[in-house]
Amino acid sequence: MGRASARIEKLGIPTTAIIRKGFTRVVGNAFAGMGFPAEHPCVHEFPVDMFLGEGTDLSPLKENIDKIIYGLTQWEPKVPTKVKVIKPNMITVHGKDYQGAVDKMNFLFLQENWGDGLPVVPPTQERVNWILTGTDRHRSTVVGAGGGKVLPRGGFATVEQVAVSLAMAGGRPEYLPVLIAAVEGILNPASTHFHWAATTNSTYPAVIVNGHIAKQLRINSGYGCLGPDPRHPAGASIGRAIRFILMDVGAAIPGVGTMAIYGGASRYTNLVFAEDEDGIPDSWEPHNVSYWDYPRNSNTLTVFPVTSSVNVSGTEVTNKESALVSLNQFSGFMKSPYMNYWQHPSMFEGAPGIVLMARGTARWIADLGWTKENVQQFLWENSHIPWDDMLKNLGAVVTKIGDMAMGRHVKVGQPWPITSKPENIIIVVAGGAQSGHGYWMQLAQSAPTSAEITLPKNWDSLLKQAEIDLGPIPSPAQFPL
Amino acid sequence: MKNERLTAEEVALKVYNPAGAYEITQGFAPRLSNLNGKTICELSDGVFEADRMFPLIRKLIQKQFPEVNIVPYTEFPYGRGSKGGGSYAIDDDRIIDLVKKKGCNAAIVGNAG
Repeated sequence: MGRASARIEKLGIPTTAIIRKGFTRVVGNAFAGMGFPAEHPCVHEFPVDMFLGEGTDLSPLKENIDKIIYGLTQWEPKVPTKVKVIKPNMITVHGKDYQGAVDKMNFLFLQENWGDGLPVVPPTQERVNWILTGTDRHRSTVVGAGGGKVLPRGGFATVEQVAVSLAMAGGRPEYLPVLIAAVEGILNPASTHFHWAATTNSTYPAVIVNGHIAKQLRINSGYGCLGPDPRHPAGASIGRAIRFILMDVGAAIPGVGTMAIYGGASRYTNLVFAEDEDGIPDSWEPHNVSYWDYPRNSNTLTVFPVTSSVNVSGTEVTNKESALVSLNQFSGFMKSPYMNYWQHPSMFEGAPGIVLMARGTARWIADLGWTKENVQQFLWENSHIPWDDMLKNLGAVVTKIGDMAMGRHVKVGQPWPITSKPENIIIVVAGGAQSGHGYWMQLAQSAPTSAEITLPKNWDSLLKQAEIDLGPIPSPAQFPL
Repeated sequence: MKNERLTAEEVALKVYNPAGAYEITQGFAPRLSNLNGKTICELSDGVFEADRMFPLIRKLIQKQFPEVNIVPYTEFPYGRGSKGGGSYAIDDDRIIDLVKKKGCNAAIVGNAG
C-alpha cells in the first residue's frame, strides 16, 4: 500500500493514506525506498479495532474527515526536501578497555535497531578491509539490480556495505563472493524482495549453493546442513549477514519494515546450505543444471524465500513399495491448501517450494528407475488438492482466485495443482547418507532467482589462509561424528 | 588480520554505520488548493472494511465539496475482495496507468497499511 501511494506521488499526484495505528513507519519506509525523504509521508492512523471484524465503529473516520481533506489540500513535509545522497559517518564508542568498548558498541546498536539482537562483531575499518580482500570489485560498487537499493528503506548495498554486514556476522573474506551473489539474487526484480521482506508472512530466504565452492567454503550439504554446525560455519555467517543487510540497510525491522507475524527462528541466519553433489544419483542432474540450465560444476546459487519448513518423516527407501510410500510422504505434506500457492499468477507459475531429499532416499529412488523428472511428475500429480478441501479451507474466495489468476490451469469443482507444471518443483539432494527423513520448504511470495558466484584473483591464497585458521576442510558431513 | 587494541586506559572503537547510505531523489507532490472541480481516486487493497470506509469517506468529502468528482475504488482492480485479504493488486502497473487515464488529481489510498 505504501508503495502504491509513493508511485502515485511520483506522478505529481498528492495522496493521503488511511492506515491502522502503528503502520506510519511501514508506509514511510516504502516511500523512502522510492526516493522520498525518510520522514513520515501523509498518512492518517486510526484505531486498529476500526479495521478488524465486520460492522466496526467508523466514528473515528467521521470525526477526522477534515484531517483527510487536509492531507490532500494543505499538508507539507516537516522538512523541505533536498535531493541528495545521505552517507552516515563512522561511529566512535569508548570503553575502559577493548571489551568495554565492544559492549558499548553492542548497546548502541541495539538502541539504534541495528543487528539481530545478538552480539555482533565490531565492523571496524580494519576488519571490513580484511573482508574486502574476498572480492576484486571496488568497495563503492553497487551490488545487484535496482541501483542496489534494499527495500523497503532503499539503503544502498554497496560492496563495502555488504562487507560491513559480513564483518558483523563474524564472516571471513572467502565468504564474500557468495554473499555478493546472494544479494544479487535477492535484488533481482523477479524476487520482489520488497514484498517478502515486508509481508505479514514469516518469510526467510533459502540459499542453495552449487559447485566446487561449497566444499571449499565448508558450506554444509550433509547431516545438519540447515545448521548450526561449527565444522561448517560459512552458511551461518553468510545467512546472518543477509539478515543484517535486510534489517539494517533495508530497514526490514519487526513492526516497522517487516510485519512478519511470527518472524521465525530461521530468520537469524536464514537457510544457507549446499547441494550434496557427490550424493546426487548418476542419472540426475544437480539443481543448478536441471532448474537453471547452468553448466555442471559451475559455482552458482539459488535464492528462494520460503515460509514454513517441515520435516518429512518416513522417507526410507529399500524397494519399489517403500519408494512410493516415501514420495507419497512428500506429496502429502505438499498437498496443503496453502493460499500462497495461488496468491498471484507469478507464484503459481513459479516454484511451490523445495524438496530436500537425502542421498539415501534419492539414490534408492533413482536405482529403481525414477528420473528426477518422474519424481517431479509424481509429486505434482499427487499433490493436487480436492476441490472440497479447497472450498472448506479457503472459503468462497477460491472461485475468485481461479477466475483472476490461474484460470488456464485450475477449474472450479476440480482438484487444484499446487503449481502450474511439475518441473516447477525444486528437488535438492542434501541431508546426508541416510534415507529416513526429508524436508519440505514452502514458497513465500515470490519466484526463485539465481546468480553466478564470481571468485577473486587471490582465491587460492584465501583458501590457504582459511585452512590455517580453521583447520583442514572436513569431509562432507554425510555421517555423524 | 591485525588485532584491535586490546588494553588501554580508554579505548576508542571506530566502526561503520550498519545502515549505510541512502538517497533522496524527490519530494512529495504539491497539494491541491481546493477539491471542488477536481477528480479524487480511491485506491483500495480491498481489505479491512474498505467496502464500508470508502463510501463513508466519499460521502463526507462530497458534503464539503459538492463539485468534487470521486472515482470509487471499485473502478480499479483491488485485490481479492473485501473479505479475502491480500494487497498485491494495489501496487500494480495497471492501477498506476488507470490513475493517469482517469485524470486523477489526488488519491486516497487504503486500507489499513
